[in-house]
Amino acid sequence: MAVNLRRLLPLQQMRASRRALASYLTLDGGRTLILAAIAFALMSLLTLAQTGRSATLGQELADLEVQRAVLLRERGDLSLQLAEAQAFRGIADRAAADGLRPATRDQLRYIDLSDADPTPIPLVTP
Amino acid sequence: MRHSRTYTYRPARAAPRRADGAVPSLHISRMRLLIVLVAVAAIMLRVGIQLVTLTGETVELNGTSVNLRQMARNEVNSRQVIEPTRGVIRDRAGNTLAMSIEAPWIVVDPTTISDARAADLARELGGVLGMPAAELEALLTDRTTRYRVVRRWVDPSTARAILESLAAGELRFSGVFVEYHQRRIYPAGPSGAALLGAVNDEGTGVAGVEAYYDDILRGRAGILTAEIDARAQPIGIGQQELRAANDGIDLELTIDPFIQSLAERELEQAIAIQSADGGVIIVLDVQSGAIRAMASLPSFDPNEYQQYPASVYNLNPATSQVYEPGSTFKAILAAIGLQTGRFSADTQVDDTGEIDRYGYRLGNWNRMANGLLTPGRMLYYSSNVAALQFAEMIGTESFYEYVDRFGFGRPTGVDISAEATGIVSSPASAGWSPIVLSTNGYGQGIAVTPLQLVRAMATIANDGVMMRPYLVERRCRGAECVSTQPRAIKQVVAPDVAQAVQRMLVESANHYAPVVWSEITGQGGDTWLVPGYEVAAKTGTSSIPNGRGGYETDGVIGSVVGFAPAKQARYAILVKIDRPRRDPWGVDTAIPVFQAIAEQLMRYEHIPPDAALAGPGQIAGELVAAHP
Repeated sequence: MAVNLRRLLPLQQMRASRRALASYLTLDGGRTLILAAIAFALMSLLTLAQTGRSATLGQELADLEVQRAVLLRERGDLSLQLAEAQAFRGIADRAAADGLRPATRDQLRYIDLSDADPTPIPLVTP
Repeated sequence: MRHSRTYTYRPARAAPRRADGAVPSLHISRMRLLIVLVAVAAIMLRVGIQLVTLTGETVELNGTSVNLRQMARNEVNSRQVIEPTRGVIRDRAGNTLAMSIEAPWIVVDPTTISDARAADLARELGGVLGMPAAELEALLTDRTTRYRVVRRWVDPSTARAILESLAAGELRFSGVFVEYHQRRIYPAGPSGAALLGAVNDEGTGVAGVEAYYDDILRGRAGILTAEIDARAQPIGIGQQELRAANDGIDLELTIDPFIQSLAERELEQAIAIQSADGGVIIVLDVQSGAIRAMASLPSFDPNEYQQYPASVYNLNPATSQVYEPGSTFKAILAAIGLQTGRFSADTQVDDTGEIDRYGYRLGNWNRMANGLLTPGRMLYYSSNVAALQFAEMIGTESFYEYVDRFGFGRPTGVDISAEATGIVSSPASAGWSPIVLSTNGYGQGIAVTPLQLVRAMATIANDGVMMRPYLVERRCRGAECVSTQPRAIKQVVAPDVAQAVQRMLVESANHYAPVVWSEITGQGGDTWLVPGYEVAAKTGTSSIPNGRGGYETDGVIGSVVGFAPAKQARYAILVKIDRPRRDPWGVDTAIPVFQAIAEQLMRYEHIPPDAALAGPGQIAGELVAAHP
């Protein structure tokens, strides 16, 4: 196979490369279309990814709302149980069932603190 | 002859083969390309026009005209009403008296349930809900509706079991739905029912505090406009417009749980012993006008108020029903007389036991004469003859002027719905005659509400200053609260007049003390009604109008109204017993109830007793020094 070798001077080489560069950079119609299609595809991909992420977050949000509703219902049920347990008549009835009763007159002692020493008594001694 | 065609591909214009042997590029005619493009564009335009036309069309669907665009939009867009949570009602100790929770309903769509499945589903669901399978099957096979409520307010655990089964995709509850609705719950049941009232299925207060404060308790509904998915959940990336719900305001009542419980217990016992028709007890804070207890019977369970007659749950006997106050009104008469100066504490009238007026013979309860009586003795003996003479001394104009100043014949302004005004005749009223003044003097021919009477008594206890009675202590939205400030309405009588009547009422109370103490001490004379304390009270036996211009002959209303302690009073108390069966005067029933409540209140308030205020056989409570 015959090879045509021609030695170029470095300066000439640079000139040749510079001339060739313009032809590489010039886009004809087909290349432009391909580039536009690629750009469009990338943007679509980006949008799709964002939309998907938003949809996922929206779904999670909706699930959290459902969980919140369930928890609020449970809180309501527990509050009701608490209120029923705290009802005064219920407490009085349970106390009476346990044998507790109001003090009778002869059991009452009233302590007059009006002349008492105002110095507080320590509750815990070292 | 049949012709056949052979198609062969032939380029329109053969591309000349290049000299170097390279394959020539495919050349498509510009004209052909243009034609194809125009054709595609035309087809797309036609499809687009068809779509636009179609969505704008109105079609007949199941006999109704439906706009397809609107129909499509309705499928996706949703406008959900966000129900606000109704405010909580608590007593002054923070115990919940009324609250709202989301409670489940079980609903079915019979059109999705085949006859073959209905029997199995009825058995399965009936077992869970505790309903007869036959009854349930009838509901499931009645396909006249797509929405049928099977059971309201089921147990949360039952609803959870059904929901879990549905979520797991099990078919056993297919066609069954669980819906959550707001339900008003009264954890204490009938306790305080008359003052609390109730809320109907539409969430509207129908009586009591619930009705009076309905606007602020119910809050404001929110609205969510959004695109929804197949589960009817808003789509996160869709357009949403939210107007948040505003929950109702919480109310803290002036009701004290201990005093309310005490009043209810005493009333229940008295009515049970006497087989009475009903009764009322009110405990009012004298210095502020705050209502600490309001008990009444017959009562109802506000959780199931529909099961009671409307007259029971709609009317609070303490504020909506009137009665003739009887002799309890004599305390008001004494205050009016002293205030107007028409008589003094030393003025005497002759009690002859009976007296003729305007063609009628009026008399004392026992027709017995008591001789010359001062206003104090008039109260002590509860003399009708003396009272009517004192009323006549006051005169028509002054008497009714002060009856009005004491608040009779007009609402007190308490924050409970359907408050009655009472009935006060005056010379301007149709059918009035001078005998009305005479009988009004001892509390007949005039109708008051229990709250009006106890407020009038509290005015005397409060040295003549009338306070507005109120039931709501604080209104709270979250942690932000607004407190109700006690409001003095007016000085009805001078302080010295009020104090004079206070002293008279202590003697009156002690006169009736033997009703409670005679069996304990073995002595029938006057003694201290509540040992260790000066307590003021006036009893009353009221005849009941029969609606034909006369009075019933087989029933009375026994009542006591007073306050404790007599000086610097803390509480005004009214006890009213309707038609006691074993006590012809009602007083023997009402006095022990009043005494028990007054004694418990003094202990509850840690007011030390005065050992000097104890009669023979009475124990006042021992006072010991802090440092002996």
